[in-house]
Amino acid sequence: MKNQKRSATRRSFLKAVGAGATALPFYRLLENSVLAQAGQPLPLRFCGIYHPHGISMEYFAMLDGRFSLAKDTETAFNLTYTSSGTQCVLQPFDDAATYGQSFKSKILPIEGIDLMSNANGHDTAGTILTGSYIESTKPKNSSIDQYMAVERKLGAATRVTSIAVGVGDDSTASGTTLSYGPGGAPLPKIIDPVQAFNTLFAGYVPTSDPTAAAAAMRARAKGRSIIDFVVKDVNRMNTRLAAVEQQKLQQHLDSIRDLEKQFQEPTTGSTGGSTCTVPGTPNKTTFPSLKRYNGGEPYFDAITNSFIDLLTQAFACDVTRFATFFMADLSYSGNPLGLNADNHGGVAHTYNGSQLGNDGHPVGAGDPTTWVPLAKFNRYSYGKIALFMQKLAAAGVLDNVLIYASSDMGNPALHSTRNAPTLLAGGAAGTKFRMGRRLKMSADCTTNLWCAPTDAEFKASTNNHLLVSIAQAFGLTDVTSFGTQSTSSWKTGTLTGLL
Amino acid sequence: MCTAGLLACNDTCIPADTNNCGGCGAKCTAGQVCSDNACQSGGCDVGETECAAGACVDTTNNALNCGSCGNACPAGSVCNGGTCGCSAAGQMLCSNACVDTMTSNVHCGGCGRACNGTCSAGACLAMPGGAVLLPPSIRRMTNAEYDASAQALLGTTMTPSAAYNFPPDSRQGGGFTLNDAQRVDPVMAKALDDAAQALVTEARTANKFTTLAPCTNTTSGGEACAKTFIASFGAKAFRRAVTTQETTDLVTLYHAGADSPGTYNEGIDLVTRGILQSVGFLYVTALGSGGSGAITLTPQELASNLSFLVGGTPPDQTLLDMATSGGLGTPDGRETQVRRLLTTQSGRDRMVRVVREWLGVDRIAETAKDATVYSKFTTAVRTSMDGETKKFIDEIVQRSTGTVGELLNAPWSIVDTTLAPIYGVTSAGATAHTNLPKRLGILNQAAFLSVYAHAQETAPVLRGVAVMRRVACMKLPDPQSLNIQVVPPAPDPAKSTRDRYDIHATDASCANCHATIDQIGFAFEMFDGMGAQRPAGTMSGTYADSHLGTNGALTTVNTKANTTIASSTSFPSDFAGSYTDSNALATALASSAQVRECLARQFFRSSSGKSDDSVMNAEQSFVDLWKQMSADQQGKFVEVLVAYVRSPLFDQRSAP
Repeated sequence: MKNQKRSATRRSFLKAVGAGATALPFYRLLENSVLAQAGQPLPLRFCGIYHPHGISMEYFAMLDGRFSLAKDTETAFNLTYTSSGTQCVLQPFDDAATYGQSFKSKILPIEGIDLMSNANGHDTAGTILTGSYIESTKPKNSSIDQYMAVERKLGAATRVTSIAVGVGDDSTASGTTLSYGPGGAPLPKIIDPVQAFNTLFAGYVPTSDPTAAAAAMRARAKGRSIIDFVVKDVNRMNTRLAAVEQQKLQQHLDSIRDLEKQFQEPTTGSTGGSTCTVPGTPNKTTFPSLKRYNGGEPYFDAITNSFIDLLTQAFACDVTRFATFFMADLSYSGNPLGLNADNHGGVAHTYNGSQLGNDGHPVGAGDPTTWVPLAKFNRYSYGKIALFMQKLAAAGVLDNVLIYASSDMGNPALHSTRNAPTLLAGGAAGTKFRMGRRLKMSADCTTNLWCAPTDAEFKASTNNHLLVSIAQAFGLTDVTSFGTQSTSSWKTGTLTGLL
Repeated sequence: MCTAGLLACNDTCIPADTNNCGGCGAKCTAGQVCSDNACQSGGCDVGETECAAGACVDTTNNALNCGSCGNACPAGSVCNGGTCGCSAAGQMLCSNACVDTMTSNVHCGGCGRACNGTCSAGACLAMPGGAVLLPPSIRRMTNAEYDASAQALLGTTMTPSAAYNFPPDSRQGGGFTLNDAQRVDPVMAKALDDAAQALVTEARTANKFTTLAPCTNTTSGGEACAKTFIASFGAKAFRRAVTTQETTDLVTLYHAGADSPGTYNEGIDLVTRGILQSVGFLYVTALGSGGSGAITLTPQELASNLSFLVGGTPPDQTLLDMATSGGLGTPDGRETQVRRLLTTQSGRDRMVRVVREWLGVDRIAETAKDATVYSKFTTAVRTSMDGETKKFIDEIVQRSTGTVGELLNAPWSIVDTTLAPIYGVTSAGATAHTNLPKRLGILNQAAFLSVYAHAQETAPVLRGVAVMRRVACMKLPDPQSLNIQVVPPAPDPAKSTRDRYDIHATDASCANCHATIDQIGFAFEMFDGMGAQRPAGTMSGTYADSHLGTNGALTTVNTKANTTIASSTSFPSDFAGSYTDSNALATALASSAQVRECLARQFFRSSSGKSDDSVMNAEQSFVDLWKQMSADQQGKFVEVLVAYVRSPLFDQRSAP
């Protein structure tokens, strides 16, 4: 099966490149081609995804007898049920009609993960990939994508070390940012698909005009001389600084090294096991506005799809191996989901959960009518991840891309950072995580259901453990602890049950 | 050797008198006096006094008989005009000794003015604990500073940060654009290179380099011309002289462009592109030069830091000249420049920006409302709200009292014709004061009220927290850090927003903070979520609170704005009391010493770019310094900024 796919991929690649590069073939020798030809797996890619507004837990959690439906088990579970006219939020992962195939065997939803941010849920997106508590709206350390790509240099081999994109919001607060550099300095997100395209692909399409080719080569040479100058310049200043200030210039240096790759000479070659097609420049007319609160909302869906295309090809073409994607809601009148124009106040805040959606607190049955709008929105978000998986599968890299998706909250009305909906997807080939299952972490509290993190009985199942597992899956087996937490056990050790 | 007027007799200096007049042991005859060291008859000269033993002395300058006979000045002091004093500048005679009141901790700025901290330039900087200066640091220019610098360097009218998609300034920490999280990340690095290339291309097309980098013989003299260009253009870009090593590296860069198949112009273009991405250009440094103990910034650093801080632009020629002459090394020299820069348009703009960042009202540009509830919140109205705060702050600073008191309590604003209907008034014009007796100060303006509200309803908690944290500098923990589960009140159309939030008062764990937060927030309940005045309710003293009902239609219930704010152990305040509404509260805040001190803290944070725990002592040092200002100056934006720039916190750094 795998060999068949690879040879088909190879054919389509040659077809694209063969005719003197008339189309938009990918054009560069990829390090992984050697591996692929030797029958080894492609290098792993990582994509962290944020989706807003917490979760309608009743439509997410493993079936436990509710809705008069059969109970789920770890390996036998139902994603296609409907209750009160509302579908399971994970339904897109088992919807071959819409997404080409069922991804039920390629996902691993995890319940009971706590984001120990020590902050309001709205400030907690910063904890998802850093595993750090938030202080003065900032985490204390870099995020796992940046740690692996930059600090551990796993992104060094590709043209772009890492990329952070987002829909509608380019601010860098801890509530709107997944990726952080050293010391918790936020990385900005690219919110314009055209800009993302330029970062990932511009200049990588060869020209058949020899004059233009010579000019491009000269431009790259000049670019490299700029890099040489800036690197020397930064290093000279660095020697004059205290350690904490050096962090700023070290990040500058890493960024310049990233820019340097854009000036390297391209060489032709194979894409290994993936089908790489450099996408066309995104059509700006499909999103005349980009920014939230500034008329961008009606185009968020189109922008999201555009980013999915770009990230897919960036992974398939091995332009980058590390990405984060900050998704948005659909807060505008007449949104296709028929939701209140204010998704935040009118959908998330109105959620009135049962005990399941209330961090296990014995609060009664909740109000099932309030679960529905949020479930609709959640299903929309997971639909985008399913679409991403569909595209990655078509490009032959789904098993080599580990997706870690989470929201910043569990119960959004509580702004609770416990029981954040957690999903691993793809990545089965590289990580050896056993996909096609559902996991449920043990409850935080067992005796006193209202127990707090300061109580002895409180047992946190933190995302830090997941981050350690991810680092190890990427070959960083020396990583046994990740993040910044007041309690050592919260940040140390892998997440059990993944392998 | 004896001082003038004394004689050396037997190894002792004695004043001349009738027993020793003109020489040791030279006696005058009876009836004579000794005047000017000579015996004479007929008494002392005019202006002289006969002191002991017939000695005539000029008591206006005689150190032993200063002002009167026998009034000897203390050792080391001089008699001047009949008063004992000190000859050295800056010294004063205190407790019978000449001391430097510029630096003395016992007599700081005057005799007996004890200073328990550091006495600097006659000002007492109470710095308990010692190490309170800021650490040496560098910071990447903000986007606005980059734009201003590019414009000053190359005369471009371009706004590169917008044209080349610079990521927005980080607002980490207190919300100010100066902060330690301004970095060059990969996105920024690419944007900087894009912008540099575009700026060079534009300058080349506009023939700027014919003046910037002229060269008569580019074949044989190209490198020499390039070196001249590097020295002049580089110094302007780096805001200091270019070092030898930098020159060497830039010449290498020149050759990468100029050598075959390149040209002189290509070399200059490449050097320019490199300079625009250099550390010297992109970072504003506060490192000083060497030394142990406190480090003083270099004159060029003083010029840059002062210019960017006050004017928002790189230093102009006046500042560069001042740096060369050392004029910025003194508090007075710096103060003159602060006042000058504040009269420039960019200086005025920067002051407005700082005040807006402090209160968070600049976020109005990113605020949205649910059109069902707030149909009048159009883009045009939002833009007018944004414009109102800018014009209002500028008016307060430039043409009115310039005080935080007036900012919070002015019974007028600058309201345009788009916003006026929202306020229910007639605009007095684009620049004139529109009277707003029922909407006092910036906290009652639509921008603040809209930013601190939800999309569909008001937010007493957000408004209360904004006043406590930003205006009064109260330390307020997050609910999560207290292990309190946040439970926003469920929508209940039958209740007003205020009544729903009153649940906080019934829950003991919430009440500790919310008793204060909510009571402040409730005062603003006479305004809706976009800052419009609510109509009167059906009962006396109430307002009509319209919000979404369960059927999606608006429903209206009565609400109130009267409030009682208590001063508690957790949140002591000097503005505790009962208020009819947020106007009365604004008046109280306007006269609050606590608010004025908060202004000092916020100006420190916005100026230093630091607000975390590590600089808390430095912040306190500034507050202590600020406390030495007279009460009428303490609340003035300009004077607080002047005080910061005058202080050692501006021109000195702790040793690394």
